[in-house]
Amino acid sequence: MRNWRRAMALMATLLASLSWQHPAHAEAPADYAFVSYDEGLRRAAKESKPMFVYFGRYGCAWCDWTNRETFSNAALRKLYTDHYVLVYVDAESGKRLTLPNGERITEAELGTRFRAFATPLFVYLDAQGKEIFKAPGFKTVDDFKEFDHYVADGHYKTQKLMEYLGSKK
Amino acid sequence: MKARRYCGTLLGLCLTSSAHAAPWNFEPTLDVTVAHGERVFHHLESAGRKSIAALGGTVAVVWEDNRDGSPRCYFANKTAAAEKFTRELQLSGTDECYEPALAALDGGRFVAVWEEAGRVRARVVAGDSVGDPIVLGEHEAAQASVGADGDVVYAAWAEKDGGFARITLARLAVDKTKLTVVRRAFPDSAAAKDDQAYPTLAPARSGAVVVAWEDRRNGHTFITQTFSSDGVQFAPVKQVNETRNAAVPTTTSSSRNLGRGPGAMRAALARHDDQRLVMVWMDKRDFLSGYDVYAAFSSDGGRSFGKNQKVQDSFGDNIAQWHPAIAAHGDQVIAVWDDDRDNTADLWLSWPEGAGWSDDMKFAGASGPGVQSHPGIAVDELGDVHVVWLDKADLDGPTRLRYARGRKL
Repeated sequence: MRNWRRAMALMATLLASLSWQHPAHAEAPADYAFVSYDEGLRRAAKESKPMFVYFGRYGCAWCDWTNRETFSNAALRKLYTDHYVLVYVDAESGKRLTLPNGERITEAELGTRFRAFATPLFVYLDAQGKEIFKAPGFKTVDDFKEFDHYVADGHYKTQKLMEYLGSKK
Repeated sequence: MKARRYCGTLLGLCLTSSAHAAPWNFEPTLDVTVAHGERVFHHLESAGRKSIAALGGTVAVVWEDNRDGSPRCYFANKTAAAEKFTRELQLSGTDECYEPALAALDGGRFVAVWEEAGRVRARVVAGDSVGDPIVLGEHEAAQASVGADGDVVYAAWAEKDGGFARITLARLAVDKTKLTVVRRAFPDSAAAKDDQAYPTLAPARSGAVVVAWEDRRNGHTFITQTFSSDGVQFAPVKQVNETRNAAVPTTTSSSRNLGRGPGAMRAALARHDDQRLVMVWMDKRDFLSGYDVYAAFSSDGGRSFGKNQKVQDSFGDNIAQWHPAIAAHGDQVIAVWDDDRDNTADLWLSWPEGAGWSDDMKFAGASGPGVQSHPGIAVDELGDVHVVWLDKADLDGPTRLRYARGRKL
């Protein structure tokens, strides 16, 4: 058992070191079809889907933690892939985006506008790009499932998030 | 600093008191360009935040905007006596242009660098003439910055080298308005292990140069710097921002390897004189309240930088600070950034005072309703401060490019 764990740890280290060869921007969780923010806005409007925007940062501890403990869950991955246009933003990046009004900004600037000063920050937007709510910090699989019920079932149209979560208890 | 800590109930009186202590008196603000309107967006976002320079009675500004439907880079200047910016020209050619930066040369000339069509370019703008643009790098490049001290001119940028962006430095020679690359060098001689980005630099008349940049080699973004006496041989790189590991969760054994360090980004460097330099950057060591403005000084010509100092005062501690810039000349040092502690995005100024930094100060025209952000700053040889920034009525609205001079008292 101990050898198996050691082998897994070595494998994880190897995979992590390999992933650093392609750093590009920051680290999004694996196997999620994340797109850029501007592409996400276009797709959300076209597909009439809400958006899930993940603001991360290169080397962010709690992003790493969330990726490992939460986004690795296969059921959550399917749920969010089915229900949302998935967007990942590196809050330190100079990668350029063009907003619907024609303004060109960077991902770091988008972070400024969403006040993404603490990462991870998860932002839910409706299909028109209007913010529904923001959830900062580490979240569990159950947290994200609750958030999904709140958004996908349309509760956000009549209740604040805290009201909704309180009514579930 | 600390008078403002006791100002809670005195409100405006304290701000007035603080402003009276400021070593500059700010004049009414001006538009830098008349090119603004619906769907026109200006940007001041050069590496090192070098969007403005002032020397010999002339101040100049570079920026990018989309007035003709595509991003182009522009230059405007004014003399100290002029009531408005009198000259404006397009720096870039027919391709998309981004992130122009500027430095002042002797003789009323300025050197500008920018990214166009994936390459970094440069040209000189003189009184009534403009030099031909030249390409500085060999590969895909961006995030250019430039610095000058007398005839000594260096530019730095991030250039693709293998799979990573690597900081590249060039010594430039200027003959009137003709610009040539004397030599190129990598400030970090070791092959890049990860991306290097957003350089800032400060040359000296001796030919020495200090270069700093964002570096991801340790798995997180930190600020690193190096020194060269000749632009050829560089000292080993040193980390400037102090780091700690308190942000790393350690509640379970499986979490101990999480997170490789806090973020630090967008360093800006300024030189007071031969031996003294100052650097500011956005620093996320206090991760719950977002980025703070931190600074470090060098008193050995940039060979090393000292202990980190938090720049903004305690009123800004729970608010994220953005877009810090720094300017210095002799004993004059001033930092500027934007934050929304007063519920609107305003420019804030601070300067070294005693063992730390002054109370933060805002000034009329760069604060209040609307959004005032993305400042650039310069100090001229008289000690006057020149500030340029973006102004807009609402977050998603079009921008105006505004300027103000602070007369030294």
